Amino acid sequence: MDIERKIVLENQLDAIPRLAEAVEAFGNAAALPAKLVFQFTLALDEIVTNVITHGYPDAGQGHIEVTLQRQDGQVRAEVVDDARLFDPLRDAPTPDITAGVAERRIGGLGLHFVKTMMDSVEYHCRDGRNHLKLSKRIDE
Amino acid sequence: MQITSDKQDQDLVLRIEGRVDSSNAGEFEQALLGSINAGERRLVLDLGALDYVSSAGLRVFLMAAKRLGPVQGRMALFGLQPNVREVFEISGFTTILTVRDDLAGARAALG
Repeated sequence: MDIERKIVLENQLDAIPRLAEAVEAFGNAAALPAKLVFQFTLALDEIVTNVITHGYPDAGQGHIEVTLQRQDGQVRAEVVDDARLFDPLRDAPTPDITAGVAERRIGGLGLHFVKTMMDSVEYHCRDGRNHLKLSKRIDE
Repeated sequence: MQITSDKQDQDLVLRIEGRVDSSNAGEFEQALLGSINAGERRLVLDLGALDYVSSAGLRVFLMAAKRLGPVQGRMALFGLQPNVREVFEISGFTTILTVRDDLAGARAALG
């Protein structure tokens, strides 16, 4: 069963619960395991939150598109946005998840979740836009 | 998200329900750090009805723990649902924060 959904969001953080609802609805329509739906919800939340929080320093209006697809035993998601160009895989800091409370730095965990929970994460810049692609195999 | 508080002896029990993400983490921060600013030093967080937390919410738990350290405050969490537990584990937070199974365990962990 192939199924695809597209969600268009503005660069406001109140878009995040809407994104979560849309991923949930996609998961139901595509009959995906609950755990996989949660992992995509979290990964996309973290990516889109970063885009909204850091991507529009001039506070201009932004356009973020999230596409979800179930095909060939995999779920693929793509986030395309018109924020400033930023490769999170190359340029984002890596958190030290073994540091204690006092030494532990606040932040940087979101991308760590994405990398941990997904099988693959790829960044491309195309036509002046950021494209971030995620994929994960469905374990029935 | 909904937060309800219940003072049991010296312990402040905060029950966090629903979702904590980047859209409402500021509200959670105000509630949690606000109680520390108001003088609470023994915090128990009931996460039994917390369905979802992202890194924006985890940041608030860490801020509270950092704030409590220098004032000899204590904080313990209990009732983590599987998805929430996974997020805590991937972050290494189950080792730096005090996590217990139930209310009695969490209160006992405050010493």
